[in-house]
Amino acid sequence: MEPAFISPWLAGVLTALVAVTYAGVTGWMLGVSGLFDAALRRRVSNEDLLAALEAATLAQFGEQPGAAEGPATAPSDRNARRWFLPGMLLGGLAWRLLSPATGLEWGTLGPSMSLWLPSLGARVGVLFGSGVLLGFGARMAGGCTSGHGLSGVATGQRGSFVSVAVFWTVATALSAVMNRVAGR
Amino acid sequence: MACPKAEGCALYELFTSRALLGVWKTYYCLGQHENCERFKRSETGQEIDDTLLPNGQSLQPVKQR
Repeated sequence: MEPAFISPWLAGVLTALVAVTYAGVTGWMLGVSGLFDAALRRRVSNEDLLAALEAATLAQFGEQPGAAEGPATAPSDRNARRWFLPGMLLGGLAWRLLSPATGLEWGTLGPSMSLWLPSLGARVGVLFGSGVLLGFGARMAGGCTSGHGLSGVATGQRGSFVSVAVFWTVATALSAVMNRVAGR
Repeated sequence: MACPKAEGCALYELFTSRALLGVWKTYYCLGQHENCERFKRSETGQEIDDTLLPNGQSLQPVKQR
């Protein structure tokens, strides 16, 4: 049974809605790899570093009026950014559970992956390796598909246009080759 | 215009964690991010240490990262 994926047009509108809502709530442009990187880097948020940073702040700017009155960032800002990654995962899960008619099965990762990699272990391995490579590429390029494709292009960043042109061309070409070889 | 590199910036997280540190965010991240040394280095693809401040100085001392 051929899976009935969500319409790409609807997906585009929904994704844009997410990016605009995120920017409206947090005041920052959406970039998933950047959020992931920031989440991993929370380990640097230790007291020694904060103390050194506070000393450097006083040296650079002096005493700031109202600095002790509250947090530098509105709670809604921080909460929205903190919950975006788990929300993204839970959103995908919720969509799957609420859309039983899609024809997708657990662990298949779509018809192409099943065709090329029949074993679940191989699919998981390839997916993990792809994620690692994607992470390296995203950090080298200063952003991923969401950061460059959604936020960067929308705000006219030249580097984002180059990034999108490169990964779009490569992905389309690779997909075409795989489909051709698979006779689809 | 807000700094387009803020989401992936290691220090931006810290700038939002305490009120006193928010002045960095106001001055650089939301203001003159083109003058931020971290932003400039990211634009040229240079390595950015977690202890590099927007003004180009390094945090000292830091016991652990």
